[in-house]
Amino acid sequence: MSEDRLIDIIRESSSLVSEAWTARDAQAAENARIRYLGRKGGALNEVMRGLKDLPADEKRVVGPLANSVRAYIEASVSAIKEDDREKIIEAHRALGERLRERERGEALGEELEGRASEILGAGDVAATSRSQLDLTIPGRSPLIGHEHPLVQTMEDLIEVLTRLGYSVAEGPEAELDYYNFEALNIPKDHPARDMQDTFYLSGDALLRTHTSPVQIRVMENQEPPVKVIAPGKVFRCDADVTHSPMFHQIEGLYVDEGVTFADLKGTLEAFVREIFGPEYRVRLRPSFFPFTEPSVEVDIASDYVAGGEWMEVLGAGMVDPAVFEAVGYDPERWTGFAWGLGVERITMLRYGISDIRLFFENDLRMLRQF
Amino acid sequence: MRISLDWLADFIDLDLEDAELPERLANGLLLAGLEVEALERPEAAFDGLVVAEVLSVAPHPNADRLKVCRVADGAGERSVVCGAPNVAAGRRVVLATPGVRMPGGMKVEIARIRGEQSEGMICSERELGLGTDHSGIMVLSDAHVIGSDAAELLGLNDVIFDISITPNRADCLSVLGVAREAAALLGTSLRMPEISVEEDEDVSAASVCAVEIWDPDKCPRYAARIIQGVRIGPSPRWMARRLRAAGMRPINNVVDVTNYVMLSLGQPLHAFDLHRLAEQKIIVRRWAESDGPFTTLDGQQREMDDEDLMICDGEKPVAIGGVMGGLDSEVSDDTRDILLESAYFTPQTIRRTRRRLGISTEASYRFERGVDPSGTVRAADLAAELIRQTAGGVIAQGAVDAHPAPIAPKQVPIRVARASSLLGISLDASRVREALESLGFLVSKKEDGVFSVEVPTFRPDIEREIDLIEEVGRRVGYENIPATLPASGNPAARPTRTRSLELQARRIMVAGGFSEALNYSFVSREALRGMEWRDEQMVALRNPLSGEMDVLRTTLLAGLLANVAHNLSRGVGEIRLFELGRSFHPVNGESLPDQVLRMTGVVVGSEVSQDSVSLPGALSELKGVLERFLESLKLENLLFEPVDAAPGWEPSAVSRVLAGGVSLGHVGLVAPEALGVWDIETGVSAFEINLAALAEIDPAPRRLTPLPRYPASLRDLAVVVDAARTNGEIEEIIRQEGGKWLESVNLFDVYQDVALKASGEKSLAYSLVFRHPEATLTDEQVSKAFDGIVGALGARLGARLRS
Repeated sequence: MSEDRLIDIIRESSSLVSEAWTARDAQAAENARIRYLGRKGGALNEVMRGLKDLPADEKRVVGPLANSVRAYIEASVSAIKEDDREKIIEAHRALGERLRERERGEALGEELEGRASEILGAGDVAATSRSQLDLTIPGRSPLIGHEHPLVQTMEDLIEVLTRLGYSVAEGPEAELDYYNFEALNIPKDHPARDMQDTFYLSGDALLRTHTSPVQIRVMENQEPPVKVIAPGKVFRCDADVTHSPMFHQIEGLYVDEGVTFADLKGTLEAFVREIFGPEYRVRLRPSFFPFTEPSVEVDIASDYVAGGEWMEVLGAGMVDPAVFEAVGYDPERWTGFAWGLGVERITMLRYGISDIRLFFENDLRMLRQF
Repeated sequence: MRISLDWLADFIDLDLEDAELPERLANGLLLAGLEVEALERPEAAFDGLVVAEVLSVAPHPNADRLKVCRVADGAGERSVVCGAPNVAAGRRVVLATPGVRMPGGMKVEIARIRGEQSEGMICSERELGLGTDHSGIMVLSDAHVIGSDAAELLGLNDVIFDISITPNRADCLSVLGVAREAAALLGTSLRMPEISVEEDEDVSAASVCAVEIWDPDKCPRYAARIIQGVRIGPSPRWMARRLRAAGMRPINNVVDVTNYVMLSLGQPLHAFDLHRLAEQKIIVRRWAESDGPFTTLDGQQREMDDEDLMICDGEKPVAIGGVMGGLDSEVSDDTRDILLESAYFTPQTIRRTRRRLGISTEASYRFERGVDPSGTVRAADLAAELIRQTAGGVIAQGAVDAHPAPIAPKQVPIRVARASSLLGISLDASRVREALESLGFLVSKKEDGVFSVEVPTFRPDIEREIDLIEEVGRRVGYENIPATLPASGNPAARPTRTRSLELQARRIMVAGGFSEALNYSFVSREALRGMEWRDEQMVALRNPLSGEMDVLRTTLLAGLLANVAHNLSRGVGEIRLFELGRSFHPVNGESLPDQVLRMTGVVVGSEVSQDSVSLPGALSELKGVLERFLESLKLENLLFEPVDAAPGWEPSAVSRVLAGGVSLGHVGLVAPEALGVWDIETGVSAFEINLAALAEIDPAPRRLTPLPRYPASLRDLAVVVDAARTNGEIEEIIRQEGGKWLESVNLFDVYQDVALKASGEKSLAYSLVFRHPEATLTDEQVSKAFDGIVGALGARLGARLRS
């Protein structure tokens, strides 16, 4: 029973010691000493006084342990009074080791050693907090560059679309008339050609006016189902504050059995909410593109932006059967949808940029803001 | 296309009192695919604008040019001061009473003008926003009731819809067409105004003129009406007002009628002066060599070719069919007799000619999109009758209607099930029928679930089932179609090697302090010439926007140097930019140029102290980042090899980058001549590498090298060599001679003091690490290898150890 009593004393005293150390409270330490080692009623003294009544084999165990506890309390108390961190840690370690040697003492030994580590850690924090640091001084930042804001928007869009299962496809910027127009159901004498002022390189070569020719190239080389996006540069002879002769588009194409206009609507809604935010409303209204039918313009609006005004962000539609015929897909079996958006426009909406030309000056004062 | 509400009301029943109608209609049209870009309401507040009668006019006591008038406004009499010369007793005028806000914002108030009380304003056309006439007040006919609302009378409260019409909807380039859509969405029916032509029964058109079509492929139909004895003058006010509202300038009653009918019904018309047509005859044929150049009514002389369709009289061309009339046959103030043309031209013909000539007219715009071949005579009838009403004259009986190639309505089938499955909404047959019928299609049942649809000739855009399905979808309303997500397909494919390279390059460049630039793919030919590129190495644009961008870039350096100049001129001196993009190179016998993905980087500034033997700070930084990128790819045999010359690079300061024997590009200093193109006066370090070529090189597999278990032996080696020797040469010898236990070679100093400079030498210092994987190397072993290196350097490069 004396042994159990000793264990209790170790638990209690180490907790008192730990508190006193943390507060560097010499009075509390002295109080602890009197409580266990005081001449009158010191708890440890009582145990030691009872040693003589114990059977010999028990005495052999309890005696040395009681001495160790006394040494621990004495060393700890003086360490607290002297503010000696090493001494108090040593006192804990010594008792801890002693306990671990015993059959039942392992957990308690660990506990004491844990306390020693705590004291060690607490000491560090206390020591540092005492040295005065001016943390208002700016840190030294490594030299780092900035991605172009258009690339950031484009990569964000690609990331979202890749998650929706779209693979990235690329095609040439200088393109054949066939891929840019003919295969997309825009024959030579079609008024729709006026919708896109084209830069020509020769009679049959031009700078692509949209990334749609990539769709044709993909479909020519792959059987359905097809689920791709085509990001890239496109070109139109037009230049002012909101038009640049070169800009960036991302187009998506999904072809499979049973793809519906309702699927297009659902996909666009999901996409818009991913990119702009869940509070956006989406409106589809009929429009015309030669390579899709039905064709739509997609407007979005949020109560928190531009007074809830609708903003046009996308063009889309069901792939026109003539396009499927051009690439050798059976339009009775396969249906699909395609959509395209201007990366500049989205980036301008996103960051409040009003002049498209800023994107291509590459002024570092602008690039560093992104 | 500008359409006024008042004009629309000619074709459909509209409650014009309903203040919310314009908004509702605009929104409905928008959702039907007719994009209403603007809804223009009157800017002025015309409440209190009335018809008044001038009772008396007295001179103003204090001003010679002003008069004091008594006017009756229906409610009473009032005094109004007026300065117009044409104000006279007994005239009906437009009076703005106090409180009216005029167009332009001026508010009419009771005022004293030169001491005389004025209780309103008598208005001129210009003051009312009706025209430009400000020579006097506007005088109304006596038929108008005194006190009645003048704003309504003059149509001043009209609302205008400015609608952007997509190229497929030729039929909506008219009030009629827009009214048809509006009727469908309002659930009311379209009302075609009855046209009764008051004709002269004694004279038939056919007896006055003849029409021959020699090329029915290009002109399937040509109708002519004859009106004789007209008097050219201004149009009536109502017509002028509608034309202005539509954005057209009134010219004279005959020309205005042709424009008015075109706007109303969508059929372009042309009025010829009958007596300027030789033999009073129209021949529609292709242009012939003997015709010579043709002068259009804008005074331009135009070169024609034999694909162009000409309207000719008995001798010569008098108009370019469907595009523009000729100067010599135009209606003039003296014209008395008119031949009115109403024709159908094949869209492709018109498009080809007007594109070649580079002109676009209201007529050609409609013809090339397709007008209604069944509406030809109706438009001629309406125009003839309106000319008679506004310009007088007599209409000869009948139209001469040459119609050699009638265009029959198309029959297009539609499957109800297909419409449902494509749109993703369950539709029954009656819904499909109703949708199509509301737009003027004639629907009949072909078999179960299939309709045969007769497409009216005013809808040339409807040819296939899918076209009908779109019409059904529009009528159902896209807002009523559910939003579903397609069943998830295959997972996305991994990025291509090129794209991964691009992403990795961007990551490393940004981490290395470089910001990303994006430049146009075209640059100026002059700039590339300044960088020593030759014309035959460039791909030119046929129709560049300007000389600043007339060829495709052969190098990304051109754009980046322009960016350097831009930044320097804005006081940004520390520049680190890179770009990922394509350069373009002509390929013999191919339509498309070679399009090569490259990465280019430039550095300006960050100069640290430099001597003549070590790398300048900027170049060193640049090359460091490039090396970091290339090393991240685990390329084998990475080499920087001096080259004599490359376009745009400083000859003595450029090196070729090679990996595994493949040339990847260059790194070095940009030549001052190239910098001169952009007036850059500071040095620019740059690299340009071919990412496409890099993507072709298989990277070495990544395997863990076991961590060393035995200590390394370190030796420093400082040698003095001829200043012309390169680190590359020295390192190569060190590696060859160092034996298999030489683990690494690291150059840590390049140095040239006065003495070395005098002797034409420099010093390079390396730290060498030797290590044996299985044992600790002895001093003797290391010394042997070290001595071997020193010996070889001495023998092969004349190097000596620095003392």
